[in-house]
Amino acid sequence: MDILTNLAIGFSTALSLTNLAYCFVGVFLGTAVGVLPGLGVPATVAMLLPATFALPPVSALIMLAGIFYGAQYGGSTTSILVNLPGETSSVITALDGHQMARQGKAGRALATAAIASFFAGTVCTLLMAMFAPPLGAMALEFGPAEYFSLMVLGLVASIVLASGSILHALGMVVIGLLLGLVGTDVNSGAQRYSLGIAELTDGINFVVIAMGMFGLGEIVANLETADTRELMIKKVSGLWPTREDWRRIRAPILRGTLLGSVLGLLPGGGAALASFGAYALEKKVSRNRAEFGHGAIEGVAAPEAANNAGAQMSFVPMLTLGIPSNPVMALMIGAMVIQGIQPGPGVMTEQPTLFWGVVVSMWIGNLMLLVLNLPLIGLWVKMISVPYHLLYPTILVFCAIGVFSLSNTTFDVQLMVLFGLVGYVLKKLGCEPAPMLLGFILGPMMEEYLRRALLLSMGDPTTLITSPISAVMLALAAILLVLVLLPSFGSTRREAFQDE
Amino acid sequence: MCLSTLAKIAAVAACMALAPVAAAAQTYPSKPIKLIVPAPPGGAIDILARLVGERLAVSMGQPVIVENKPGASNNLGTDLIAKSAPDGYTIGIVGGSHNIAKFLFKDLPWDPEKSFEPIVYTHVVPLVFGVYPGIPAKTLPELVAWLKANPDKAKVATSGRGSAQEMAAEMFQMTSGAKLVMVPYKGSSQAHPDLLAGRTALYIDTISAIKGHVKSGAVRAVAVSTAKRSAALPDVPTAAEQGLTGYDANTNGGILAPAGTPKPIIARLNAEINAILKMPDIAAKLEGAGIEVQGGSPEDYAALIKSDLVKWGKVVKEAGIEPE
Repeated sequence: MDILTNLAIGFSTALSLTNLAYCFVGVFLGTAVGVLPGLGVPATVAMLLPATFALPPVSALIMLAGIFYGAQYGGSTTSILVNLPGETSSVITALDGHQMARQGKAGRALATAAIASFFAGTVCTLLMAMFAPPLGAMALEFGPAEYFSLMVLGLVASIVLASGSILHALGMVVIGLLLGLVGTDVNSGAQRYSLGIAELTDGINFVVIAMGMFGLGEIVANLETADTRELMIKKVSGLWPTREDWRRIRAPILRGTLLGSVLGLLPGGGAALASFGAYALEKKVSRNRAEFGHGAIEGVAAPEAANNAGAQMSFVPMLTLGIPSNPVMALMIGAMVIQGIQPGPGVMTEQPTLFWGVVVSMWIGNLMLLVLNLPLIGLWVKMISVPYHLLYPTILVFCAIGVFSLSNTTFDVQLMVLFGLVGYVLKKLGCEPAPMLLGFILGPMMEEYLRRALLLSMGDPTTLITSPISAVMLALAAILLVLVLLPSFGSTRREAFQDE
Repeated sequence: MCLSTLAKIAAVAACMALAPVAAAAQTYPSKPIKLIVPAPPGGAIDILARLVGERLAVSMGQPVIVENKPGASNNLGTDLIAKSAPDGYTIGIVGGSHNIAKFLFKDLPWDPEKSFEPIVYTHVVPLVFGVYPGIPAKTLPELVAWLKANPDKAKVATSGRGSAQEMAAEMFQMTSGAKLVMVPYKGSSQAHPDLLAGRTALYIDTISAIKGHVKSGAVRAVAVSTAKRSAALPDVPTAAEQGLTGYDANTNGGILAPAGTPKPIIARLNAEINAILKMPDIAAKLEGAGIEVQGGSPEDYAALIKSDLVKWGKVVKEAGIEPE
């Protein structure tokens, strides 16, 4: 099977009328979510999970994926026009994008953002088609020991790459690990932390945690900030970038795409980190350095390419290895499990239509977004003025319905409310929920793989270092940990995140 | 006024005395029937419940609502069936864990026999001995010999505590005398990669789950776990045929009602569901999902539950599994 046959499978799946429709629904919702500052992607995906139960797996994933990368587009629109980033990944776009808008160049900024995103999306679709099969071919070499080490690396990386204090990130990972232990031990059937509550014997459903922490917690926290949305948009005109613009954005788009692709692959990486990184890079290498912060078009092009590339490439570890690199990917894994598909290397070989259908749908979705965003700018801008006293209660109701439908029990709804409160408190304390969710997802898997690796090696722990793949990954994790403890690296890291 | 009038009055009175019970059975069902599935959507009993429920609604003239109540290894939903009003408006479908749970959980709030009124034995899912093809064993006796000769490689994948796959492996250990290392996985799709790569030697899995790998040659099917051969793999001999006398492991299930449900209602449901299970398209659809359709009287199902409890009780005890 070469790339062309694979892509052909993908196109024939993604171009079916149903899948085109779900792709459209996904990118449309995604743009809306990206535009609305009060609603994040994880919350939206979590809310829609129960609704995907009835869909075929491909359509479900195509739609959920569309929300994720669609939000990257929507987020930039509000960043540029109203200086109000809908997503963290477009925070950086606001710096120069909004300045451009103030100078009457809103149209060109929006077009640049859309073109950069589309270019990155196209490149990433090709990159995925090229690099996924070799990764998948290694699948059988990944035994329990290798998976365990890979996850250790993932968790360490998510701590290092989390914005804010490392100690907070570490603490959140540990809380996530502990929450993941609730339920029945697979090997012995023993109960852990289930407190005699029958509903807890299967563990806590991650949708409950995700909706509580990301959905409710975010809404509560948002209610605190005063509603300061001012619509200062004049008519958006002059959509097409000038010849000079084209010349200036070419290289930044390429650099942004490359950086985003690499960062997107890393656990804990993804869109937000990619956009910050790309902006920082342009600031260093650009000839128009002085213009940055005052409406430099490069400052829009590079981060927009990077965040889209990062968002799309974070699908690679999820689809090929079953390892989530961010909370949205963790939710995607949940969606696959619900559909009866075990995420992992088998997906590519056993479900080629699913794998390639989703990959190709991303390119089609990016095309839709280009068409959807530029002419419909007016609509999206109006959306920002949706009154929150209507939006938030609606979200709450959808969260409650979604969680109840998981296993038809009110216990889950109560638990979600509890996690909503916990999420709010943690947010106040400056603790990001993302590392916690990763810990929650990866923790039980790590434990399972470690114990299995030891059972298979008849209790010999050296199995973790005698396997070359496993040894390399553990070594990488160790190096990362040491680096982070070095004072010089620590200060660079703080600098990298200071723009937030 | 004579004797005949008196007799008539007496007859009417007698009729009135019996009326409530008879009337309840005659007017049944007068409202929708709830069919509880104590497992998440997608599994064998869920597929069965949805197929049977749809036809049952037609033959009973009332909607049949299939409700998934997963949780706590099916114990939550099963308890819900046990505690429902025994009026025939709540019934449930249970799978293999029904006859094993008693030995695994200390404080099980329901009893597999006393809490229920069996309605009908609906299905059985046969398992197959899937062997890593790098192992030279082509038959079951060869496999047993190989496992005994290579105790450090005698690793068997299971699907976690109390699963049919684990019970079948424990029963295999008991009857064959080979010493096995049980490696638990969370279900088939997780266990397959390690079996395909030879990290485990054997996995006794449901036919529907492992059939694809058997067809492609990635896994060798050495024996079928049930007393009879399976229609899905007719060329694979049973374990008993290959000298493992008395070996019969499977995961089966049926539809039951809370204890105390009136007999006429049980009889009516039994007749209707038996008729549905005989419909050719239903049997064909279930066969496609690796489920073999059964049937019979409520007493047949009660007897099966009783004998399964004896069988698994013995296996759990021999394996040294303590209830948690």
